[in-house]
Amino acid sequence: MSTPDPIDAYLRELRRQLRAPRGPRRRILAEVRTHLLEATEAEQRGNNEQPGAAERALARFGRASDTARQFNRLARHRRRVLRRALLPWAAAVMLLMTSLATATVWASHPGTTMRSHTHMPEHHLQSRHCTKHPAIVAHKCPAR
Amino acid sequence: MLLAVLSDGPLHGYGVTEELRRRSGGEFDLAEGTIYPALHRLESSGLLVSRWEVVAGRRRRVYALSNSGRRAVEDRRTSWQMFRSAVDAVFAGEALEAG
Repeated sequence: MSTPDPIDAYLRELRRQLRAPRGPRRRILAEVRTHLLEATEAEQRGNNEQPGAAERALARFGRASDTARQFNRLARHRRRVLRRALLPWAAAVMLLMTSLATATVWASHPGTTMRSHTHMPEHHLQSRHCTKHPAIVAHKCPAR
Repeated sequence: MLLAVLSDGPLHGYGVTEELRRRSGGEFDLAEGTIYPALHRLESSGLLVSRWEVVAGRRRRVYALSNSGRRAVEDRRTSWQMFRSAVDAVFAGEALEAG
C-alpha cells in the first residue's frame, strides 16, 4: 500500500517536531508509518472501504505535536541520565590529565619545586616579571 | 499493562494497542500514539527488547519482554492482586487478614 497523503503530511509534521538524533528519529517515523498504514487498512476492512479511513486512523493515533512532545520529553530524560552517569568519569579523566601534565612539568624542570597540581606553562616559569604565583613555592627568577 | 500484554508473546506497536483494547473490552482505548514513547521508555529501562521484522513486505518493530521485564510483570501482578483484594474487602465490609 502506498502511503496516503494525510499520513505523509502527518509524518512530515512529526519529523519537523521531533528533537532526536537521526537514527532514533528514523526509527520513530518508520514505526509510526507502519502503525498508521495498518490502522488505515483495519478501518477500510471495518467500514467497507468508505473514504476517510486514513483520517480516522490518524484521529485514533493522536496529534503529531502530542506524540512529538512525549518523545522529546523521553529524549531529554535520557540525556540527563547520560550526563549524570558520565560526570564522575569526566571528572576522573580531568584529574588524571592534570596530574600527568604536572608530572611532565616536574620532569622537564628538575630545579623547580612546585606544590601545586596546576600546570604552569614554561613561558610563565621563565617570565622576566617573576610573579610569585601562590602555587609555586620556589622558582628561580631570571635576572632583569 | 503494556508489559502484561507482551507477557503472552512478542508484538509490534499496532498489535499492542489492538490487544490492549481487546483484553479490556474497549475500556482502555488510548490515543494510539502514546504507545510508542511508552514502549521506547520500557526498552530503555531494560524491561523490553525489540528487533525489526519483515511481515508481508512491511517492516515492523517487534517488542518482547526481557528477563527483567518478565520479573517486573510478576511483581506488578502480585502487587495488583494484593491491592485489589484489599479494595474488595473494604467495599464488602470485610477485614482482610494482615500479612
